[in-house]
Amino acid sequence: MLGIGSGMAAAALANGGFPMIQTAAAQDDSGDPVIGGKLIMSLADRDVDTFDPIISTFNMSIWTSLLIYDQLVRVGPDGTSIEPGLAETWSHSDDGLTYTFSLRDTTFHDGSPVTADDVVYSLDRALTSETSTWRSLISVVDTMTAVDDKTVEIKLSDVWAPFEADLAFVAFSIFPQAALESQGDDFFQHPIGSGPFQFDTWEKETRIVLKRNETYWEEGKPYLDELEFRVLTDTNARMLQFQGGELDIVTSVPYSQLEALGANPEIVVLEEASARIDYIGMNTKRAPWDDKTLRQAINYAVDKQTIIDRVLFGNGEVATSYLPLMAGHDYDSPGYPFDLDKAKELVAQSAGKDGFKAEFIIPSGDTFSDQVGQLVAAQLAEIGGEVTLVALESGARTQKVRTDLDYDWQKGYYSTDIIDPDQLTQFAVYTDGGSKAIYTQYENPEVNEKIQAAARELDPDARQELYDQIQQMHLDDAPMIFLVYPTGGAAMSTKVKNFRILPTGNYRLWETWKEE
Amino acid sequence: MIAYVARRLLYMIPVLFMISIFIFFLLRLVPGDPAAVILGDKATDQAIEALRKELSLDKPLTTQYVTFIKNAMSGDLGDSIRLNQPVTTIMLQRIVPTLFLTVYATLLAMLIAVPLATIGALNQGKWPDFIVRAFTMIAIAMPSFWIGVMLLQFFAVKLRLLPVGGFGHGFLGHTESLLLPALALALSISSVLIRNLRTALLDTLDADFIRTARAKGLSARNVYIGHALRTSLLSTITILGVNVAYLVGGAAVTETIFAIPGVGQLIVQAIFDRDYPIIQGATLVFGLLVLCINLITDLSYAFLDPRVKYS
Repeated sequence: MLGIGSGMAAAALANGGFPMIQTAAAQDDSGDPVIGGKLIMSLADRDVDTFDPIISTFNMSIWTSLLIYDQLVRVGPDGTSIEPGLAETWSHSDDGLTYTFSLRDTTFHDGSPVTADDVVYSLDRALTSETSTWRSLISVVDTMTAVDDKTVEIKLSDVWAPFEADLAFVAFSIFPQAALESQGDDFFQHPIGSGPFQFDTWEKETRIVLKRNETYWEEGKPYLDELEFRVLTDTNARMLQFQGGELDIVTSVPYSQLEALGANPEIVVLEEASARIDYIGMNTKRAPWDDKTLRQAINYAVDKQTIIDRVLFGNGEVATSYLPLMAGHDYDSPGYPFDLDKAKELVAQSAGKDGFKAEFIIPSGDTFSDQVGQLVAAQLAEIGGEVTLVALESGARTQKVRTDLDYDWQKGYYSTDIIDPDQLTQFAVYTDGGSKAIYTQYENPEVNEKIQAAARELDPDARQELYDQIQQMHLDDAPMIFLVYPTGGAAMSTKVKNFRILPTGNYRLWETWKEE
Repeated sequence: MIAYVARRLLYMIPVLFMISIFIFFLLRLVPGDPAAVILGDKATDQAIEALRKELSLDKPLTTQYVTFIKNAMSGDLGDSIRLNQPVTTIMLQRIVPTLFLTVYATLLAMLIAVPLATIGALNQGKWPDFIVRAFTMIAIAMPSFWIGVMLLQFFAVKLRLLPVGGFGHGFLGHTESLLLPALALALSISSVLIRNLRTALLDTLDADFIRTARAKGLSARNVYIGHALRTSLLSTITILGVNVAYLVGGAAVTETIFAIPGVGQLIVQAIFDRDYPIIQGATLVFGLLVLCINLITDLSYAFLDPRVKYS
């Protein structure tokens, strides 16, 4: 699957020729778009923490900001390709080191034109600002020049295969330089972008209102006049508001309620979800978890299908590698099928042959993790494991796991922000990726080398081959218990048309409309 | 009287000072680094370090406290780490729904308690009394958040008569939006009030001065409202005072279920995020409120009972 339009050659590169994932469109898209109306949707995890996209790492902030700001390129509707954003066309030199972007004629929400200088300024800010969390993502950028008013040239210090996929990320949003410089930090209290929706109101921890950008460059879009995001972190409150008709779309629906919602003819349950994996990370630098054989035995002893059946009510798939179901995922990976005999055989040869004790940290108040924890504890008792669940709230958990690395196991999940496998690989597997391989302290020099090679490989097949190898080696080393790839979890009124969730978790709401 | 109030207000200063020391150091004993929590899992170590510097979290604790208390005395409670706004601005916004809800719930609780306690006391041992007593038993056994969910399910989701939570716009909007949460809170407080007031009324109605009042030919209504109820309310007001103080602080659960943007929700989220300035500021404001409510409770004794004099 190649990209569309003028960005085709480049899109093929960004997509890396990875197999396309079919995200089943659960809704009927037939009928003509209805112009106007207001759509109300929940923000389930938390409020947006900041509209400064170079700082925030939270999904709610990223997904909401993506509606306000444009980037040079963006994720296509299939969720696996890159399509034009502010850049109408782009190309790169044969050596893959020089990219040239031609900007379209459009304006920011304050009426000022989008210029090459704004692009250079915004990207430079993301690359060099002290507060930027995302510098490392495109640290490969060497120089940026505004060739003329509408042309930007970016030179890379090294070949970087995920470059275009990275540029579609919200941290590389384009701001009006003049407004941002004159307003300083205050700018992000009422942000200005050039995206399909413009900022209107932000009642902190209550709601965010966005209005249609009347001069959006995409002809005829967005359809909706207004978007409202309600901050509803409590599951009961969220579901009551949806059932009471106050919300058009509800996110993070408890899995136990999905079936009942689906039975209601006025409600559509969405099957697609962001590409995400739920796992149990093991502290591989602490005995006995430094023993690979024991880690493998544990993986064989956990029956993931039971977790999917009992906890997710069928909404998920068994995880077979660290990469969720997205570009780069090794669809032939065997994973660790549930095999108690094999697990017993392995554990007898391991450091856990006389039994093992694990303190297992789960997020407090998270029913899903608690149920998973109890199932895993019961299953591991079969091979002599004594697993104690410790529920900690986020602050204490961060301290123990991240800052002190003083833990045995922890339940976690991660989802991708870009459509390329590079980000998650750096984050979850690479030793020096910043999170110490999501705090497992996993270190395999050969894997680290391959990760660097894969990021610089421009041939899609060769690149996939490298990611397959990385996944298999990481799987064999088993620094985590690979649990599940959850799906679903959102529901909407049948009045909402053409709404889907991309693997990156965000939504193309400018293409969504609402029937009366 | 004025001297008394002035003295009480002066006493508040050392109390608030103690609260500030307590909350400041207690908070910092809780594990969790605000910078790491606020930036999230994907943040780099450098970004966390930079934020720690910016927030002065790398300075010694005593230095941090001195800065905090100095600023606090000039009315500056610092900036929220997470919301990027001055704590005082946030508190002024968020206290409105909480106070509205508290006052609303208190009024409803009194509106429920006084008539029901009256019915119970005047019909002691008869069937209306049994119904009132049964009602208090049931209301006391149900937690307010559960009552809240049930009220929402029925009136908002099923019948769609009232909004499903939120704060609404304008005074009427607030009154409408907060009716169910206020009722949920009022029901659970009222059971305690009814039981207390009913017993107090029974004692008072047997008292000598009531017999005197009747003997001098006052109407039953005048005896009841002017003499019996007024005297009996004394102990009920004490209980109400304690409960209102509890309401201000304990409304978090109700605010969460009804999605009301009040201080309760604010402080719960702030604790999870280790947003020190918010927690400190909110605790001080709560402390001040509870002290004020206690003062108002004490002053109301003088109003209800002419024998009570403050000097």
